[in-house]
Amino acid sequence: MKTIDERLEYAATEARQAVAHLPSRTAKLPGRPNRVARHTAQLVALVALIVVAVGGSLVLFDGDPDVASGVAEFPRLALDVDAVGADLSLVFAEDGATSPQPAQPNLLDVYGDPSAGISSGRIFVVTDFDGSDYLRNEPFNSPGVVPVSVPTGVAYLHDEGLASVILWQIEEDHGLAVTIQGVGINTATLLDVLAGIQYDETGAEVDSLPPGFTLLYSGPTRTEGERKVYIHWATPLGDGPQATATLELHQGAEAPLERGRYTITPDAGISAISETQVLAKPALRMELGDVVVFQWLQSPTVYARLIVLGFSDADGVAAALREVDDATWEQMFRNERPTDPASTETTAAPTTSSP
Amino acid sequence: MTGEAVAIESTSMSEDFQEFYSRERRAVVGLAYVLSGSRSGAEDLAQEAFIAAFRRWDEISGYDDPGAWVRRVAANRATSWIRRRAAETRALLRIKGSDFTMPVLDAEADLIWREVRRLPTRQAQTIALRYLDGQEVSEIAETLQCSVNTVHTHLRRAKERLARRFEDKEIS
Repeated sequence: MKTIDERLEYAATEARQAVAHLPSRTAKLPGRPNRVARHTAQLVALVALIVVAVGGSLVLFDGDPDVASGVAEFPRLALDVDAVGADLSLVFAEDGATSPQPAQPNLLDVYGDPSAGISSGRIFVVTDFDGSDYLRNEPFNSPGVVPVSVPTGVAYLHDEGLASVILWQIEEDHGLAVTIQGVGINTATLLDVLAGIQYDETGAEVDSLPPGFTLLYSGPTRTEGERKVYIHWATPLGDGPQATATLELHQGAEAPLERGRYTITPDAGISAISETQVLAKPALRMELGDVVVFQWLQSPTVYARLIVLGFSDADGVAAALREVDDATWEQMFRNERPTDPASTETTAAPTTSSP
Repeated sequence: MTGEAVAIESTSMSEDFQEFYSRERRAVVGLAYVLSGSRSGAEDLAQEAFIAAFRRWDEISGYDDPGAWVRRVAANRATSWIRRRAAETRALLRIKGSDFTMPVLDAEADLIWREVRRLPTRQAQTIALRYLDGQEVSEIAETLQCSVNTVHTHLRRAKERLARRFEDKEIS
């Protein structure tokens, strides 16, 4: 039997070989503020972006019986590309399959005021039994982290305005950690929560909550058996930025909207949050830098996310979502799936390569 | 979107960045690949990391090891679902013009990296940097901005977990 080292060395060798044949090419970069402006006169040329060689080829899955059965349980939603007002087309739709059981799921408690609307503030308390990964995003922002005194030493506050987080490594050596994230919650309130938190080896409990707040979800951060599909649309490759829209549908999770909201917050950098409507349902609208994310409950057990990048009118994209018939829905999954087994988890064998 | 994308000829781009990019690109794509599990999105994730480095090249070029910085950004973005998803979507736009297809890993290697991706993020990043990138523990600590002891802990726990999982799966 191979040792773990032998397995990892083998896997690493295979992965290195996979990228060894990447064609060499010039870096494709965006215009850099300041320095690029300073050196505009020195630029020999600004040419159209390099069409890079990435990923596998599209394949057709005609006749694959798993396509219809795998996605049949989802609400049939698609963008009406004509209504978007851009040269938008379907890139592919993928059946994300069923999520595996997490090895050691972190525990998540979501608190909020149920009478205050879905865009109102939320507090997410995560117990991580193996050290917290928060602040791993954009680590160069870490100078903004402020130490906060707690009974066992120091916690760390990262205040990003609309979204802020307190990281508390309770046990040394990256053992038990508690992360308190607030979205739409001021820092003082978050510090009050920190002051009233109780913990033992089974997790953390909050004693001090803002008025009206109650527990909206308590459970693992990831759940077994949640099924997902993804549908991607995009404008054509051109000289300028590409615009993309991705619809994610998640089926089978408990309290899916509240738990789903948490998965947004670690991506930090939420610059605006508001309530809107998508498909006549109340939806959360969040701006994260150059991305606008809409989240809503499509049915009691299905929550949906629409991730919009690069459109001047992200709301117009959301407004172009429609319910479609069975044939249209299934066709999306039959004809436009990638070969990438690592991203699709599909077991269906490709039959035909597209041009 | 990251703004107007342009290709800058090597004569106009600072030579040190171009050299840095050429030297580090495959390693960073590989890191993004094993941590994201996405053949299609890995190169875009790596590209995002290089773009971030380029924007701050005046500062980052002065670091002892700019490669550690770009690896950290790539590793973080590869484990961030929203970045991964966006990169995959963008990458798949380009397929028709592609003359390169990243090979599929064989079944054993693919299974091992899948199990690595199921580890806690920091453990997965540590394993990828150690085995794929060949970094020493001290280099990983610099890349992930943590202590050497923490890296040792991540490595030990990660390997213990992986060992248990492979025993459970009865994989020889």
